[in-house]
Amino acid sequence: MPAIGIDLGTTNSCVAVVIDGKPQVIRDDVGNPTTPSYVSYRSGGAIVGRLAKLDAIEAPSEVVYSAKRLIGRAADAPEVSKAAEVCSYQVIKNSDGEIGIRAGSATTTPGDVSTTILTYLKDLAQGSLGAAPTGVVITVPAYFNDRQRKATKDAGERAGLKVLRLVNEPTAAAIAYGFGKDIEKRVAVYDLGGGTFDISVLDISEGVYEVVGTHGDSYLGGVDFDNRLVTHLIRKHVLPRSTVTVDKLSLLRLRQAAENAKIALSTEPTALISLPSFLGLDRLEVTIERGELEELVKDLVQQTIGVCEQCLTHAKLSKGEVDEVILVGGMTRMPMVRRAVEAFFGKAPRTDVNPDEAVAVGAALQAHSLEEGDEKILLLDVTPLTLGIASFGDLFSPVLPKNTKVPVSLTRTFSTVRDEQESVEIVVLQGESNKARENTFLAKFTLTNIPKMPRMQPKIDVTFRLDADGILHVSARDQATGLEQQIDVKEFLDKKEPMGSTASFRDKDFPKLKDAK
Amino acid sequence: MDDHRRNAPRHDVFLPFEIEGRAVSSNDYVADLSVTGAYVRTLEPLPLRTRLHLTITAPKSGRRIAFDGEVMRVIEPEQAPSESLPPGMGISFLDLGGGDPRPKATEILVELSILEKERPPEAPKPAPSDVKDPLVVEGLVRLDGFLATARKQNLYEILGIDAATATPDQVKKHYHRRSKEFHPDRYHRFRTPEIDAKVEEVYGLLTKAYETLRDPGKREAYDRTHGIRETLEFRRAAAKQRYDLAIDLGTSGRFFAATVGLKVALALDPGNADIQRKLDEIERSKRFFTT
Repeated sequence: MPAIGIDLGTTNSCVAVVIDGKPQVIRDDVGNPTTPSYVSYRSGGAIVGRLAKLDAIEAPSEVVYSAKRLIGRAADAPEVSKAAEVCSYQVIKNSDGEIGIRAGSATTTPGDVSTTILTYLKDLAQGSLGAAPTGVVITVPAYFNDRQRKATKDAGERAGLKVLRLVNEPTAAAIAYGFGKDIEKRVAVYDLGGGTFDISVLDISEGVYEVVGTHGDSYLGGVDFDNRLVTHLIRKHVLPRSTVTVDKLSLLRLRQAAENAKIALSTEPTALISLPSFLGLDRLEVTIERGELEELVKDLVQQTIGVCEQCLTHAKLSKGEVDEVILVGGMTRMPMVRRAVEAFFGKAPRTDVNPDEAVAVGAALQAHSLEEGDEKILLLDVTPLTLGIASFGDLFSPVLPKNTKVPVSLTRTFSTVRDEQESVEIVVLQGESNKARENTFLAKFTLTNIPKMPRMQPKIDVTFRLDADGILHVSARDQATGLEQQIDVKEFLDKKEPMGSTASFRDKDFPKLKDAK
Repeated sequence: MDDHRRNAPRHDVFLPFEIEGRAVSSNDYVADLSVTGAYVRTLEPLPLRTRLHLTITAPKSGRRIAFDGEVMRVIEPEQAPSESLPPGMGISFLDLGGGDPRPKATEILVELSILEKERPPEAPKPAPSDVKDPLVVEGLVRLDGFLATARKQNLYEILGIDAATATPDQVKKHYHRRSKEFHPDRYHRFRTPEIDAKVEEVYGLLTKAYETLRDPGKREAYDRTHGIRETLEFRRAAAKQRYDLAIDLGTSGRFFAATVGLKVALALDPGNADIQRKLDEIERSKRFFTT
């Protein structure tokens, strides 16, 4: 009974398995290798996939999509209001500060929508394999933070899956690329999906996949390309001709038409958008040229190249040191994206990787390796985001820098900022801003009973330990007394503490770095 | 994977018995007992289908319990296939008027299980926590073995590379090789808290070695603060000494001794181009060379 790999995408999802040493994608009843990440609540129950996407045309407010853009985020995050603006379902703030979703008469959460999709994929696998999968590797964007990761893992467990590991999407794609090849190469994976963008650089040799750099934007993907086209169509072709207010149904029809046109323009020079009885018009008919679309989204493409540049800088690598470039994610079919990638890396990207299936295949290979002890693959991954604590003056003091190998344990020494200060507040954060409040809050605890001393005298060791499961343990220990406080970030988040921002903590209780390294 | 862990405990049955009308050797005994029959270990089994009256002595009470039976299987001494099936005969219990054999057999089995529970634990018998998955045992041996030496080693030794000559590529390659042996994923199938803790320690050491030695700045600082540089300088000085001696030997025509000396010098200071050049020269020409 095998373990499976699931690529839980923003717009499409895919499930794969390894049978007799060979990875294969599990197809649905009509032979589709991927499933639209749509859930329809129209019928009272929850319908997933192709049928739900069709439902969206008739009952847009009762169908949920792009839930991945919301999962694990704070209800008041800017990305959430941005997503809510363009969604045809309702995004609300629950009383506990978490995001809620209202779709028709159903009330749900982004996590539960993911659970529903994962359950569907699990059942699909079970139907095909004739047995329940023993475990699963689910992929997440490399740039997902710990809250988003935890929410994804919880969704998997609620779907009745044993989540062996979460693996970063570009890493999984690299495994799919390297599998069965005897290569020794430095490979860049450019992964532009429906909702997120990641770039990862890996050194592959003798079946070892070592991530040497990773960067990304967890809110940049094909959906944003569609939005650009939709806005353009409304401004240029609808508003000048119609006085009817744009409603959600029309918006969704237009969005799906725009998505189809965008896909068509990857292979055709022009695409026709034709919507009968649209917003008071007999028919909205617009021909879009490839160049027109490119003009609308070129800054988005450029944004991804900027992220690539940052990735190489952080990893202290030059473009010339990259041997191969792999493209993953449906958006990389766009010729303009390929041109931009080729121009940046100075080499043509490889085209022998299936951009829709590689991530799920890599996840299946990793699941198989873990469960069966198959030693052909070994993944050496890193922390994609810096982990640290808030220190006095709204500063962010990193303890585990990004691109640190896991598992790992590192310690930095802090002290007090006031004379006779008897306690310090340890606020665990994740992100790249040097301002504490701009990073993602993960957990907090207080170290008390520090002996009264002049400020900057006590020595408080703060240790961050990331275990093999990716769970972060933070401890603070007073060197003088040996007193220690510690916290398991996963358990802290389990308690469903409000997502609170660091602004609400008392800056004056934050410690200060002892070593000025 | 479960079979070697989940095996029901085997109790060796060792029960005295008598067979009506037949002398029983003191070496014979009932070696296996169930409610339907018994296996009698003996070097002189009775012929197949022999009907007999068997009296077994219950192990705790000492009561003698009689059964009717029939020989259903015979293993002659010369045909005994293995230690697990010694010579003897299998007897099926029958009811030939002496009553249902099953409750009688059950009485004996109950006494056996009571005795089993009362038996004091044998001194060297491993505690249950030591009955481990062989993969766990093997993993712990590997991890402990590595830790025992690694705690005393410098970072170069931990990765198994030479401080004087290791290139960044070799640092990476050796880290990858060690990772294949010690990365937590390799222990995923037989995780225990003990394994987890040791893997984390081992892999932490390996990663520290890798992170330090792959970065030229950090490597230099490490060499300086950990006496590596002194070691390297010492080796270079020793190499220089051998080199000078080899040149002298060569000058006086002792080419073979000179070659050996140069090879030793090169082993001490493998990156030294001068030594390499002289060695190439002498090996190529087999003639003498100028200093």
